[in-house]
Order: sequence, then C-alpha cells, then structure tokens
Amino acid sequence: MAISSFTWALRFARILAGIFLFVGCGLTLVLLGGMADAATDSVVRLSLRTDRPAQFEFWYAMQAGYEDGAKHQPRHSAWDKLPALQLAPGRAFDLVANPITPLLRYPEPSAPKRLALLALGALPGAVSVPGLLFWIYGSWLLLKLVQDVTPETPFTEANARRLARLALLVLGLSLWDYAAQACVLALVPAFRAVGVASSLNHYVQLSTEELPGFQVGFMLSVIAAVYRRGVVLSQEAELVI
Amino acid sequence: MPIVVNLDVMLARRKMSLSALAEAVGITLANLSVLKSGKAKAVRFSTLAAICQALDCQPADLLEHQPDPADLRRGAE
Repeated sequence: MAISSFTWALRFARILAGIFLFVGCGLTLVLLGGMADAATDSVVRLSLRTDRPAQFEFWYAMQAGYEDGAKHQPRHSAWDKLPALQLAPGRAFDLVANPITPLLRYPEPSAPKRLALLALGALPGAVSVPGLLFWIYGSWLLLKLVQDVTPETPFTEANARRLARLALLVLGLSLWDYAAQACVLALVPAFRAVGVASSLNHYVQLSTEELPGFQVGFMLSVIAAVYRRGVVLSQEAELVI
Repeated sequence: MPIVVNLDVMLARRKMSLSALAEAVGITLANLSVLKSGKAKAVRFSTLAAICQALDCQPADLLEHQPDPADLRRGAE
C-alpha cells in the first residue's frame, strides 16, 4: 500500500516537474520578447513599492529600530511612504497610475542599461534572468531527481548532489537579490519626489522578491545533508547479507 | 575488519560450489560473494542460520576473530 502510494506520488512529481520545465522554456521566450521590447523602447517603466523602500529594506528597518529606541517610543509604524500620485511634467520622470503599483517612468537612452534592468527583474511583468535560472535549472534538477528515485532505491549519490545543488541555487539567488538591488540603485537615476527622504530608485520593486528566500535555501541544505546521510546508510545496508 | 569469514574453507570441506550454496540458502550469488570476500558489513542471524544449515556447521566454523594488534593496544590504554 505504502509502495503503491509512493509510486503514484513519484509519477505525479515527474509530471509536475516536467510541466515546470516546460513553463521555464516558455518563460525563456517571454524573456527574449521582453529583451526585444527593452532594446527598442527607450522609455523605462519601473514598478514602485508604496509602503516602504524596497532596496535594502533591512537597513531601513534597522535605522527605524534605532531611532525608536533612542526616542523611547513604540515600534516604528509610519514608514517613509511614497506620496500620492504626482505628475511631474517638467521633470525628467513621472509617476504613472497603475492598477497594482505606481510606475516610475523615465527616458533611458542607453539600451544596455535597459536590458540590464530587464535582466535584473526591475521591469514589471517581465521575467528576470535569476527567475528564469531558478525555473529552468531548478525544474531540471527536480525532474532528474524524481526520475532517479524508485521505491527500491530512494537514496542515490546523484540525488544527494542534486539536492545540494538545488539548495545552493536557492541560497545563491537569495544572496544575488542584494547584488541586484545594488545594481538597480546604480542603474536607475536618483529621482527625488516631494516629501520622500530617499530617492525613488530605493522604491523600485524587483520580480526576484517572489523567488524562494534564504530560509528555503537553508531548509533545502538541511534536507540535502540528511539525505546524504541516508545515502551512506543505504550503501551500508547493501553490505548487510 | 577483525572478523574473518571462512566460508571458502567450509565450502572446500563440504565440496560445495558457491552457486550451489546460494541456491540452497536462497540468497543471491552476488551477496554470497560479498560475504565470502569479507566485504560484508554485517550478517543477519537468519542468513547465518541458513548457511550453517546448508553446510552442516556452526557459526564459529564460518567466522573467526583476528584482532589487529593496533586495536588491542588502543583497548589497553
């Protein structure tokens, strides 16, 4: 009974991993289309977070915590919010109304910069390179992993390596997010809006925020270590006559 | 490993081949080869009993303890 349900779960996982990989291939086409658009369209549109700065959020949280502690006041609740929609026709940028988030729109003559912003996941609705890497490589590892597993041999050396790579991928992408935030700060001009202390490039939202974070990577690395121990034990069990 | 498996000695005494023993005991030839070559990490009591039954011998005829002098020195310290 247990073996039967395990076999069914494996079949289901194989189908699902195949679908993930297929979606990843589709996202490659979306990214290529987005690159063609970004190369030709000289106007950059970036979605902004309205409640608090998106770039290096922990730094703002820490600063707010220190300020609250110094003033002996309760925890900071009023963040450095983006003001209500304002049009700045005479300036180099404007804020555009959008059903989900406001957009920062400005002309960017440099095509490499536009493409870099797209690759980093700063352009709304577009696929980022890290996101694509996660979808394709992660799905590929998952597919190979479930293809290798059988009810008789659940622990294999190759799968231990795949799990470790998956953990490294997630951990690497969560660290890359900080590098991407720094790149966005460097690539987007520091436009200023009335009533906001930080420049608007601190509010740019990255699509990589939706990728699994450090906690998931840490969990995966723990599971990979436990699985590796399982591989060693199963190899020892093979030598029990 | 200080435990030595004397399966080849008992097979020679009983004039039995490894494949015949594998068939009599009901385990694969590959597993029996692992046991005979001394690569096995552990032997189940049921396997040992089946081999003793097939070879008409005692476990002590099959297994021998040959401690490494280095291991003995470690124990004395």
